[in-house]
Amino acid sequence: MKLKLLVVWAIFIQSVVVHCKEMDAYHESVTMDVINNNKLYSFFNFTTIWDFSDKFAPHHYNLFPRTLGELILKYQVAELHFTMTQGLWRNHQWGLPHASAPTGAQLWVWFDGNTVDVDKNWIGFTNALSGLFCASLNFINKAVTVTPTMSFFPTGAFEGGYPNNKFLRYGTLSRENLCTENLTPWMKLLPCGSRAGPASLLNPSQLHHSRFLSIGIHFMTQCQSPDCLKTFVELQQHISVVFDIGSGTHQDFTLRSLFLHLIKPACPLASTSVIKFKVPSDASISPPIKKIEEFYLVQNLFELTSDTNYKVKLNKQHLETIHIPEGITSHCFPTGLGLEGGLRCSLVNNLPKNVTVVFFQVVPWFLYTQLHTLKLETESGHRIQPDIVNFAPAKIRESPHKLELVFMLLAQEVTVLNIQFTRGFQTWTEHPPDANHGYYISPACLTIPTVELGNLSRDHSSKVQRIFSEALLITIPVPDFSMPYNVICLVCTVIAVAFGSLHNLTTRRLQKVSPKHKSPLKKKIDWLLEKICKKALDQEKNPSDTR
Amino acid sequence: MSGLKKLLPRVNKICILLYFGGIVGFLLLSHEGIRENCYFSENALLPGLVDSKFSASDDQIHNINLDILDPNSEVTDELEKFMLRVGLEVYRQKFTFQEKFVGNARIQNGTNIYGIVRAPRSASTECIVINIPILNNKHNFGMGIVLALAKEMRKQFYWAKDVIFLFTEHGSFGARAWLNAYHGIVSYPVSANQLPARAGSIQSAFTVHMEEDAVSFINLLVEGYNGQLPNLDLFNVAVRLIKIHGMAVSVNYEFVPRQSSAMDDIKSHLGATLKMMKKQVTGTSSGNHGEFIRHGIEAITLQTVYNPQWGNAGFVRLGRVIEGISRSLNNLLERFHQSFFFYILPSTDNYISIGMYMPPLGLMLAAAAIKALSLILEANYVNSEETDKNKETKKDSDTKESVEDIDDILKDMGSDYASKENDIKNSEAPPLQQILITMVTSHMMGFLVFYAPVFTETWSQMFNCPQDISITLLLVTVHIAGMFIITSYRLTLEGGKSLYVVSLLHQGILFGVVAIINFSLGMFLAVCYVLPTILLQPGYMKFNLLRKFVAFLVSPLSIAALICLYTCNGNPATVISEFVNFHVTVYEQSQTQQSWLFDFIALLLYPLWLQFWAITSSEGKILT
Repeated sequence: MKLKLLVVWAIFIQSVVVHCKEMDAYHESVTMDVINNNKLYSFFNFTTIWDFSDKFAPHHYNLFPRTLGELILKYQVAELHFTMTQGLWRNHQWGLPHASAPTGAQLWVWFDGNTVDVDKNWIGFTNALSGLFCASLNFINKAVTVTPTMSFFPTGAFEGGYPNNKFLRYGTLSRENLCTENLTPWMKLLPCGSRAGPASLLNPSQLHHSRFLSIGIHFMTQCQSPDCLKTFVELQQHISVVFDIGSGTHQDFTLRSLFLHLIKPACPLASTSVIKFKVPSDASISPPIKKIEEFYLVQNLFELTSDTNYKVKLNKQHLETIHIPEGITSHCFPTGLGLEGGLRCSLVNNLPKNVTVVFFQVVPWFLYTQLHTLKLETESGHRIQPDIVNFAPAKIRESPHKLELVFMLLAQEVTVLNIQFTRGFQTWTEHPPDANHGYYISPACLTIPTVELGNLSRDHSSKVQRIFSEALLITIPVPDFSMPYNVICLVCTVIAVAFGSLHNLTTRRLQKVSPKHKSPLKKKIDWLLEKICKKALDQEKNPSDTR
Repeated sequence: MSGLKKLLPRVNKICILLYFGGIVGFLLLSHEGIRENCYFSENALLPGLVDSKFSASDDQIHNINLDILDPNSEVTDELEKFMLRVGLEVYRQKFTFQEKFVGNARIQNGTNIYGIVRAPRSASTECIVINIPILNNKHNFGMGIVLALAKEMRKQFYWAKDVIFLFTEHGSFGARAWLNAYHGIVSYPVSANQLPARAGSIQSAFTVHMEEDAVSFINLLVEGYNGQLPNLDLFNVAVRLIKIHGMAVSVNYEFVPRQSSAMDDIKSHLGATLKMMKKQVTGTSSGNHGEFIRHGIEAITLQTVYNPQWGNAGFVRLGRVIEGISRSLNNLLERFHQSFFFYILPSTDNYISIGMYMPPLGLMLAAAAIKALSLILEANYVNSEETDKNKETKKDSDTKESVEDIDDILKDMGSDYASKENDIKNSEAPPLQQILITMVTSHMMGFLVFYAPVFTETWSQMFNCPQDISITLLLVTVHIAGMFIITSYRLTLEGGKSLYVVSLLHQGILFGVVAIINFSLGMFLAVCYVLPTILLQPGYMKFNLLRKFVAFLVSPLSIAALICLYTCNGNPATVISEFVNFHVTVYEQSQTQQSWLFDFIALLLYPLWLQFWAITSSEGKILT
């Protein structure tokens, strides 16, 4: 087991990336990808690097946001990954994202190796973060939190080499919506806010008219040298947004038509500031961009003198292209009706080779999941034996079920994972408002080594890619909170009363008892007493008789 | 107690009074003062609050219909092409099913096709389904309307739930195949391929059924399988939106009467109520929506009706109705859970809830229960009177010895056993044993009826007749054989009486439980059975033949025959074919649609009736 884990670690863990020595720096960029000729995927990336001589200095914050820095110090956070997402990243149409995120809020944190009480810090940190981002992260309580073993290794340097997962906490809230109130504090963390550079495009009201919107914050420690004696910290802020670029005849777009804003010249504090376009080869951009880097047209924003509106003209011949899914996709859905239910994921591997993946799924405690029902087979009926099965059953109201599997996705095959559960009951006070809406099972996560995906991956800097499937809305038995509930109570009472009297009438033997008669029991007792007394008297009178 | 005793001789009158009281009570339910007006419980629905954005014209819709009707290609291919063109995600599903079990039984193939409009800001956790059945030999003109709607929906930003446009083949089989695959379940006799894509939990659905290219009014179909109904709120939404857009709406082709006399009013409402109940009794669904309801999804069917005299309301209005219903469903925050799930509809504007319709049925079932109770009480009185007499005679000869007194008391306590001992001396078996033997035998016969259709093919080869006749013969034969087998075991008078009490209670419980699931069936059975069974009390030798006749009249076989007599409209030549058809239909529906009617009759109703049949042939004595 330990050996297998080490193998997984070797495949999936981020190797120590060596960065050249950097001073405090701020890099901003926006990448615009035209997908399928009908969607525009814009990915904004803002990286703040803080290089300090020996220790994270609490006194002097330069570019690094102080609000976040203080929390990180107080709760001994070594690595933080927080995303909030509206909508679903549709892998089979859009390919892999630059930064993947599940629907709703997701938070995973590695705490310092010398943290004493990880759980206490975790609860404190989620509460503080929920205050910072105006999100309901405080609902990530112990009934939601898990400690994954293989899916979420640190992405930066970690003290002591092989990380001990007792310092890791992971929680998701699938029902959490991303609103402007979360976006505003997120933008405030940027050195220039939304006043300059790519961030000037971020217009909250327009961002919400999109197909997919995700914000993310990733904080980690990086090594400066191979021996990792010196480190610096890095804060990445992402925002991904997917727009429909018109429909029918209006396929061309401009920055103004999508964002309602023009792009402003670079933030003066930035070290680098670029806008990149990836458009079909027959499309044209005006004003034209000359520089090309890895399929991208790149424009340095420092070279802009005034606000610019880029216009992209697409070739109309490609409008009806049907995209054939490539790479690896996952589609999960709940099965069954009534109290019995289950979870089924069909994992499609369209690559020409077998790929080892880590499958990770958290199931709420009130869905009693049974490991023996776990079935893993291809659609053609070939059974797959997982290399590692890591299952932690739930504790009622304490912790959720955690299922982590390592197995091989066969080439050009659909692998179907099946697990059954029984829907449990919650007490009537535990139901949230709108109880009849249902409950969410958080998205399953598929972790795949980047090397296996090759060119399909948009993000080559991290060693693994994560594919999240849909959040699943399921219903569990809900008490009837309204009027019919009272009716049922009433009817039951009436039935009970009627039944009681009927039962009484049918089973009781009716007979006449004259009022003079003593009750039989009393009679018996009297008679017994009398008899005993009589005998005793008789014995007293002539004791010789008994001998 | 003495009061009760006085009532005992009049119990038959009381029971008959209760029975007719129940019937009258039920008939009065449709009265203006008792039925209630429909209202919305779910505030989130907000029907008709938004302006309709549906902008396609009649001509455009007509052209789409013409495109799809292209005789050179398959309907499914045309649908796929169109939906891809307007930017939907389109998928196909193949399935196989067996439509017939009697006669020409073969596996058929079908294809479902569906397009998904992804809601822009949702994560595909919830969806609405708009189902358009592809009719076998006709075109469903609803296709043009919903496709025009899909094209517009694609650009609208206010959709919070994905919308699935589902085109199913072969009636309810296609819908079942798709829903089974959607939920990862399997149900005989449909087997379906996996679905490549889904859109989360289906919150609600509706079916559009339009056989002609014009529409005068919309008829709403609500009945699901085995008495299931959609939530009343969904029905209300449909009614309200159809009215808002200026169309006439009916349920079971019954409209709300305008300004009529009290008598006419109750007549028309009662007519509609009975029409709905007639449909429900069979346990089958009136449209594809039944499959959705079976899968826990509230659904309804909009069926358009065209009558040239009434004029044409046009495609656009229907399109706006469909759009309006979708938008109301889009507003829902929770699944349908308020309002009523158990109701009957006297018109589109009124309903009778479970709280109103159960008491009349309760009265009728109470008649049977009271009859049973009276027999128990009577037996008790007879017993206690006998012991009283014994006591009195004994008391006369009693001395003052206390020991004997106690003997007496003990005897009193055990008089039950004493009287039973006497019975045993009188007959071969105690009543309990007789009851058990009869009940077990009758239920065994029920199983035989249930499994009899398995031998259809063998019989048809043996007697060289078509399978539909052979299955009818089989069922009739087993039914009649059961009657002889059960009477070959003679019950004593005591046994007959005890079985009678047990059967009456059995009947009350059975019908009561059925009525909770399928009220119409429960009511129908109560009307048929309660009165005859009350009159079947054993012991009246005088009327034995009459009793047998009454009992036979309510046998499942006779009821089937009576129904056929009624439906053939006095054309006696068709009665036999009607009778054969009836048996085949009931059996097929149980196999293909999983209606419980056949199973219920075979396993529960027929054994119960056999018990009463056994009682009529128990030994009797002429009461003086």
